[in-house]
Amino acid sequence: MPQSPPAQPALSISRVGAVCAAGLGADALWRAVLAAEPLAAPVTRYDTHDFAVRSAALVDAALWASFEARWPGLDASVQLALAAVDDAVGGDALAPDTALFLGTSLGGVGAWEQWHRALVRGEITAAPACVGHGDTAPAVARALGLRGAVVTASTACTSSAMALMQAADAVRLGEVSSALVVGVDVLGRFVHAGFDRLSALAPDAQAPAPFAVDRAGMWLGEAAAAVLLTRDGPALARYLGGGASGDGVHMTAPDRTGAGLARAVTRALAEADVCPDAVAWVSAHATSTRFNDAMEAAALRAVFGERAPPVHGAKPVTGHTLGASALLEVALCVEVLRRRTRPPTHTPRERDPSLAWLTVDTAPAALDGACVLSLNAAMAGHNTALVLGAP
Amino acid sequence: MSTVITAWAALTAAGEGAALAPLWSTLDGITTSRAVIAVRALWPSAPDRIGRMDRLSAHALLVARRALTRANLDAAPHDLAVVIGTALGCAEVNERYHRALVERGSEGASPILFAQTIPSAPAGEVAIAFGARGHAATVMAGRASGVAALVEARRAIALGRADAVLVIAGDTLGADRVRLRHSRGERPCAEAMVALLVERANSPRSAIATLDEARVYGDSAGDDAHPDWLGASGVMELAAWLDAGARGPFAHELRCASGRRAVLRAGPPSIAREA
Repeated sequence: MPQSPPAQPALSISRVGAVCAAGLGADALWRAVLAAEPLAAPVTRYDTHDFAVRSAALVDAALWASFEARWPGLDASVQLALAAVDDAVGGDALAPDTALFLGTSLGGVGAWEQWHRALVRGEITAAPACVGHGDTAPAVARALGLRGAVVTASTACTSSAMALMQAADAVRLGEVSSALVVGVDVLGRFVHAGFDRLSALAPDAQAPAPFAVDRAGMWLGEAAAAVLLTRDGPALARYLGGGASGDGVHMTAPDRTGAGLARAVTRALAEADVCPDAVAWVSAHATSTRFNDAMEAAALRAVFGERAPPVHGAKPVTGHTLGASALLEVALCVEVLRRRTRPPTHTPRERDPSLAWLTVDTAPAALDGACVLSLNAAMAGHNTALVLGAP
Repeated sequence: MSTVITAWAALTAAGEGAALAPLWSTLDGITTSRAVIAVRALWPSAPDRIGRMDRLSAHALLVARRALTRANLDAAPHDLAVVIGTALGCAEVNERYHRALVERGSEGASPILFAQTIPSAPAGEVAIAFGARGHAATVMAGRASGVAALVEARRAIALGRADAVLVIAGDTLGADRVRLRHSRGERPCAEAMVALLVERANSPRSAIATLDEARVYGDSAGDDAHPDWLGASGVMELAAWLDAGARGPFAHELRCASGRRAVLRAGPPSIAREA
C-alpha cells in the first residue's frame, strides 16, 4: 500500500440515525454520553447465569416491542438496523438505486443461535430466514425497497468503519450517487460467552474506565447506527477520509507498538488532506482493556507526538457495540461537530501514569477546531481511522 | 481503471486447481461438496498454527501461499492489501464453538475458537503468515461475495489505497449448515477457495490477464443455473478460464436468489498491451 494515498474529495453526511441502550436518536445518544454514566445493567434477556460478567448495555425492552410491532417477524438485527435507518431518514423515501453498505460483526447469528441450540438438543425447529453474518443486509434492503448493490462488511469491531469507507469509495468513483451505511449488532449468549471467556470484560462491580491504571476491560452493548452519504448537498458533517490496516501480529491482541493503528491514521489523514495539527478531538476505540488503551496511546504518540488532541471513550456509557460501534461513534462525532462540544469520558479512577500525557476530558469542554478523528480496532488485527469535518 | 491479475490459485473438493463443476458427495444423504484437504500434505512447511485453524482460514492460507509463490513472492510485500470475499464466513467454526457452549455451558466456550468466529479471521491469518500489513477488508454478498471482493480490490487500487491486493474468495461448510440449507430447500452448494493477486496495470510482475470489470448490482430476480460455489461463485469460473490459458475474453454474470446480480469481465494480457 502506498504510504500516503492521494487526497480525495469530501463527501456529505446528510442524515444520521442511531439506536442503542441510550434510546432512539442521536439526541438520546448525546445526552447519555454527556452524562457519562454507564448504561449497562445485569442482563435478563438471555441466559448469563454461568458467566463471570453479566452486565451489558442492551436496547430497552419497550423499544424492542415497538420494533416488533413496526416490522413484525423480521430478525432482530434487521429490526434494529431499520430503526436506525428510520431515525436517519424519517418519512423520506430513499432513492431505489441507493446502495447499502452494512457493517456487522454478528448479523443474523442471534437467530441462528436459537435454531442451532435446538438442533444440538435434538429438537426440530424451522430454520429462520436470517441465519448468518451476511443475511441482515439483504433483508434490510428488501424492507426498504432498495435495488442498489448490497454488501456486508464484516471485520469484527471495525465492520461499520469498513462499510463507511467502502460506501465513500463507491460514491467517489461515481458507482452510486448515494449510499446508505448501517452498522448493527444485537447481543446474545453466543457472543457474550466468548468475550467473557476471553477475560475481556470488566467485573460487574467495576465499570470500564479507559486509560485508568486499574482498567480491567469493557462491558458489551448493542446498537445500530445509520448514515446517508452523498457526493454533495446539505450536510450535517463531512466525511473527509478513511484508512485501514492489518497488524499481522496476533488474532486477539493488538500490536502493542501501535504501529498498525498509526498506519491507518496516517492513511486517513492523507486521504482527508488534513494535517495532524488540524485534528481537534479523537473518539478513541478505548475498550478499557490493558493492551488496547496502551496500543492506542502509542499510535497517537506516533502520529501526533506529545501534543495529541483530547481523547474520548464512549464505550463505558454505550457498551462496546461491536460491529456497530464505529458508526455509532461516527454519529457521536457528528454531534460533537454540530454542538462544538467535547463530551466527558466516564473514567472515574486514577489514570495510568504511563498514559497521563493524554488529555481525557472529565467535564464538557469547547471543541477547538473543525475536524475530528474516530479510531477502531478489532480481533484479527484490523485497524480503521475515519476523519470527519464540520459542514 | 486498469487492473491486472498476476497470479491465481484455487482449491476444491477435487484438490488444488480450478474446476468447472463440483465433485459431489453426500453427507447424511444430502448432496454436497466439501473440500476435506490434508493441508500438511500440500504444504509440508506450513506454519504450526495452521493445525489450530478452522478450515476457512487454513484453505485461505493455502491458496494465498500458492498464489504468492506463483508471483515469485516468498513473502507478501509489506503493504499488500488483503480482501476476503465469503458468503458464510466462519459458519463452520460457529457450529463447533456453539455446540460446546450448549452442551457444556460457559466452560465449553473456547476462547481460541471464539477468536475464529469472525468472518475476517482469514484476513488476520494471512496478514500474520505472510506479513501483509496493508488495507484489510472482508466482504459478504452471498454468491456474489468473491465478485464483491474484486470490486473492493479495484476500488482500493483506483483510489491509491493499494498497489496490489490479494483477493481470497470462498467458503467452508459445517455439517449443520449443510442440513440447514437442505431443510430450506436450497440447491446443493460446493466448497471452494480461490486466490487472485490483483495489481495496478504497471505492476513489475507479468500480467496473466486484465481485470476489466467487476460489479455487484441489486436488480436480479431469481437464481441462475451456474454451479453454487458459494462465495467463490464467478471467481471460480474466472480461475478456470485462467487455468485454460486466458484465451479470448472472459465474461460471467451471476444472478442470485438474494436479488444480487454480479458481472465479471476479463481479457488476455495481450489486449492490455495493445491498448
